[in-house]
Amino acid sequence: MRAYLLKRLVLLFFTLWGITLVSFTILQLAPGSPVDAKLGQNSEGSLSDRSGITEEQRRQLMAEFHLDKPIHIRYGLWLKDIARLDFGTSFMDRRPVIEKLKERIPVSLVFGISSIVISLLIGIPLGLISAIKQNSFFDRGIAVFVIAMYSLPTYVLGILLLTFLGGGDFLDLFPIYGIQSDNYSQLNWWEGILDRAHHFVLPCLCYCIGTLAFITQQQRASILEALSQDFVRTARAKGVEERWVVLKHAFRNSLIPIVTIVGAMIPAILGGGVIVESLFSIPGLGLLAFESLLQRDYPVIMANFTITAFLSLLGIFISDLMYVLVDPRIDFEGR
Amino acid sequence: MRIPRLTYISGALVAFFVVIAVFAPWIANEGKGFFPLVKFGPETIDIFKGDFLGAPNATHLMGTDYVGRDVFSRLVHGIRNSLFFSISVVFICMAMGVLIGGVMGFFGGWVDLFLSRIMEVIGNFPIFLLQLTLLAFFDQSYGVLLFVMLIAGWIPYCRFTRAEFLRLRNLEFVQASLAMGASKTRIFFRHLLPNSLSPVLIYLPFDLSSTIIVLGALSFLGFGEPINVASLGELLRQAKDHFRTAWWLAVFPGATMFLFTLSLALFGSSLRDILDPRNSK
Repeated sequence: MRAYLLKRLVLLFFTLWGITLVSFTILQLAPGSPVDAKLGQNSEGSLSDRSGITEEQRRQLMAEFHLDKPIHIRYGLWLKDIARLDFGTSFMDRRPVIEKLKERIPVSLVFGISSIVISLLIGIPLGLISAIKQNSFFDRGIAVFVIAMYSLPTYVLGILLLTFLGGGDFLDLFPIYGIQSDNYSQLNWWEGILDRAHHFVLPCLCYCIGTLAFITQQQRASILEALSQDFVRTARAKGVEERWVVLKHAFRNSLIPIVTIVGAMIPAILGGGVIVESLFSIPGLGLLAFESLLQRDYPVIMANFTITAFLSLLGIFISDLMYVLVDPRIDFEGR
Repeated sequence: MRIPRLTYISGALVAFFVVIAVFAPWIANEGKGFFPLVKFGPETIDIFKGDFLGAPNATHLMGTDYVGRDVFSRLVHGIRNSLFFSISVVFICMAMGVLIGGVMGFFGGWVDLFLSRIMEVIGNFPIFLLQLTLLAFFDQSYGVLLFVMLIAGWIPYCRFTRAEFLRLRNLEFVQASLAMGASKTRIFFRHLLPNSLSPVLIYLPFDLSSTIIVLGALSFLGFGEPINVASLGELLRQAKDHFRTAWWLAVFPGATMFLFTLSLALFGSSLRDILDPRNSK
C-alpha cells in the first residue's frame, strides 16, 4: 500500500512537472512582449506615448523580469523559485503572486466545496428514488432532467439568472456583483452571514448544475449495480424487509463509488470557475486567471496553471485513495 | 422493438436546427423578393431607425443588438456558424482519435506506451485554461480556434477505438483472416476499423453538443470566433454587458442554445438506448 502511494505521488509530480514545462514553453513562445503590454497599460496604450519610454528603461524592465534571458534559463529560475513556493511577482502591480493566490483560493474553494456538498445532498436521494422506481414516470423524468442539466451551459443559466433575478426589467431578488456588499464591514456578525449568503445563491446555482446531474446519474447507476449483487439476493432470501434491503444493504454499498468520484469532479469545477466568476465578478481563482490572461501577466498565468493542475491531480489522487479506504476488497498492489 | 417517442421529438428538433443552419442565407439576409424571409443580414445595421438595443417589435422580431443589428438574423446565422464549425471540429477529432487509437491498439508495445503517456499529460492538463491562453495570445481566427479545439478533442475517440482494437484483435475472425494471409493494412481497415466504430458513433451527438457548448463558452468570454462573426456565444456576451436593459439578448439566444444542445443530447441518448444491445429489454 505504502509503496503504491509513493509511486502514485512520484508520478503525480512528474505529470505536474510536464504540465508546467509545456505551459511555460507556450507562454514564452507567444507573440508580443508583456513589457509592451505593461507600458501600453501605463500610457493608455497609444503608440506615441509608448515611444516616450527610453530603450534604457525598457531594458531595465526586461531584466527585472528575466525576460532578457533564454527560455531554458528562465524555466530553471522559475522552477527554483517554485520549489520554495515563490510564484514570483505580478507584472501588473508588482505584488507577490502568492499573496494574490492566498486571497483568491479560499473564495474558489468555498464555492467548489459547497456546490459539491449541495449536489450530494440533492443528487443522492434523487438517484436513489430514480433507481428504486426504475422505468417509472419519475425515473424517466429524472433521466431527462439529468440530460437537460448536462446540456444547459453554465453561462446560459447565469445570463438568464442575471436577467430575470438580477434587477433588470424583471425581478430584483439577488445581488449580482462580488461576494459581499460594499458596506459589509459595517454589518454585524449575523447580517454579515446573511449578506454573504445572499450573494452566494446565484453563483452557487451555476456551479451546481453540472455536478448535480453527474451525481444523480452516478448514484442511480450505482444503486442498480448494488441491487443486482449477491448480498442483496441473500438479504431478500433471509426475509429482510425490502425497505431495509434497499436502505441498509444496497444503499450503503452504492455510496462507495460516489465517494470516490467527488475528487474527480475538481477539474470540471475549476474549469467552470472562469465563466461563473467572471459572470458574477467573484474574486476567485477563475477570475484571476481571466484577468491575468487579458493582461499577459505571465507569473500569474503560470501560477494558475500550476495550481489548477495540482488541485486536479490531487483530486484524482485522493479519489483513488478513497477507493482503497472505503472498500477493503480493493487492493492496488495487485494492479 | 418500440422506439420511444422522445427519439422522434428530439430527432425532429435536431432536423429543425439543421434546416435553419443550411438555409440561413434564405431565412435572413439583405435582399428583396420573397426570399430571404427576413430582410436583415447578420451584419446589416438598421440605419433608418438608428435603433440600437431596440426591444422586439414587428420589424425586428427579436430586437436589435448594441450596434443595431437584427438579433433574429444574427441568431439564425449564429446557429449556422456554430453548427458547421462544430461539425468540422468533431469530425476532425474523430478521424484523429480513431486513427491514433487504432494504431495504439493494433501495434501495442512502445508505440502504445508512448502515446498513452502523451494522452495522460493532455488529459490532466487544465484544458479550458490552455484554450483561453492560446486564444488570448493569438489573433482571433478560425485556424487558432480549430487548433485549440483539437488539442484534447481527439482523446475520447482514441480511448474508445484503442479499447475496441484490443478487444477485437484476438477474436477468431481476425485470427482467421491473418491465417489466410491478409495484409496488416487490410486487417486494420477492413476488419478491425469497421467493427470498432460503434462506441465512436454513439459518442458523436454528445460530443457535438459539448463542442457547441465549449465554443459558446469561448466566445462568451470574448475569445471565440473572429470578431463580428455571428455566433450564439457572442450574443450571450452582449447580453452579459446589457442584462439590465436588453432581456431579448439573453432570452432568445439562451433558449436557442439550450434547446439546440438539449435536442442533440436527447437524440444521442435515445440512439444509444436503441443501438446498445445491453439496454434492450
